[in-house]
Amino acid sequence: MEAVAVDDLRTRKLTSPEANAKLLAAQREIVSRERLKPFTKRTDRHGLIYFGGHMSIVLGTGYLVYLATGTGWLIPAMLLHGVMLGHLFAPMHECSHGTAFRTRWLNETVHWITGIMILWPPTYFRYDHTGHHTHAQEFGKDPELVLPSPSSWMDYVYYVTATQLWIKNIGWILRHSMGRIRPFNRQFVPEDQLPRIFLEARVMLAIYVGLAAVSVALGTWAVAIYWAIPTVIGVPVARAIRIADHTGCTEGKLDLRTYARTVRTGPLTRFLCWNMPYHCEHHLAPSVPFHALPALHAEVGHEMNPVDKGYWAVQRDVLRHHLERKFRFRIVQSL
Amino acid sequence: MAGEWRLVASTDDIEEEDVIGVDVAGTAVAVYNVKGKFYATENICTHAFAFLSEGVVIDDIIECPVHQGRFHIPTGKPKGAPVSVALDTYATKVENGKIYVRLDESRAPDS
Repeated sequence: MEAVAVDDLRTRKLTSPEANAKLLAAQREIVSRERLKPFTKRTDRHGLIYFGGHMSIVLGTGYLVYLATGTGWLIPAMLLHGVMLGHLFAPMHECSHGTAFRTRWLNETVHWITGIMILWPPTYFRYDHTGHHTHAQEFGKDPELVLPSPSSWMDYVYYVTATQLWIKNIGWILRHSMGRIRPFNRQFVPEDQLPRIFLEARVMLAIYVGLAAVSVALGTWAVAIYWAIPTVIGVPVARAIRIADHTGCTEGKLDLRTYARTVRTGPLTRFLCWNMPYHCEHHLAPSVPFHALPALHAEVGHEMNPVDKGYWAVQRDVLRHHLERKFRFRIVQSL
Repeated sequence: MAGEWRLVASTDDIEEEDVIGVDVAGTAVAVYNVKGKFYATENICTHAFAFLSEGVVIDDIIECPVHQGRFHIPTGKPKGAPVSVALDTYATKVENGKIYVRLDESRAPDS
């Protein structure tokens, strides 16, 4: 396992020419540009249907929370609502690639709305995510590496409960709003763009502080009941699903066929995840928008990792075969 | 040398809303067909150095194949994160169905 010195991080740029040339060459080994081109077409229609549908579900579950207030159904309703809110990571991620909508302002607007709703600084995430695509599954280089080998059950709990997520994301917002950025995070952001990252964090912090202040001034729990508490208790479902994207797949080398996992699942999960269960195909060609991933899977899926049986099966396999049984706690992602 | 017009392709070589990569006197150049008009820029993404000719053309935008950074084709201007440094652009002309590029570059301001 590679040890990464802090001094190296200060000077290293992860998105190097060599790494990206290798990535593109690996993609071309599997699918030519000519074969890929029909799948890269952008539309607004699909994004509008998915985002409109997703937000309608969120409004619907929010209404259930309203109906359940004062009854024993409040916690289950908030949990359901939170699961839907937690899946807003999917449109935020798709927008970070610029592939959710053909029209750029639509893409950027939804990127910001969803980023604010789930506490992900959207522009910083866009930079951070470049590192994930260039160095997927490389310890010390992939900023989104989930439960690398060896990981313990405590690592699993730390990840799935989203403890790691809140420490990381709130840390980003607070640190960046003070004009500071950790060396590991800094390497993804061009020097001249750091002021934008800091401004983004300040805007987000102002929104959250403003919401809290208004809530206190009006003596209302609405923000907590309809957004904050449901998100905290619901997001672990999305985290558990995300474990299936890479955990237990090939680590430490660029292998587009085997370093991600495509999972067979039902239409509701595919809808809420904006087709990210086709994760092999997404990493093969991130220029392909979410709505074309099933078609790309039909075209090249037989050349990739075998399709997994479902999310329950993946969780079981990860818990049985990937995690070490010993009690050990290692923070792997809060760099 | 830089000011010479150089034949790079036939107009039939580039489908509408598409791009090809060519080598012009040792310089990697991307040549685009945007609704029947032909443009040329440097072919290397200023963010992570991927070949833009492997990318996707959307209207008058070229999107890098690796991290989806976007540039305005006619001006080379970066269109937001993760790209912030403009592309060099080159003059083009079409004569008798042949596309010519001249390598005296110009560059839009970075974002």
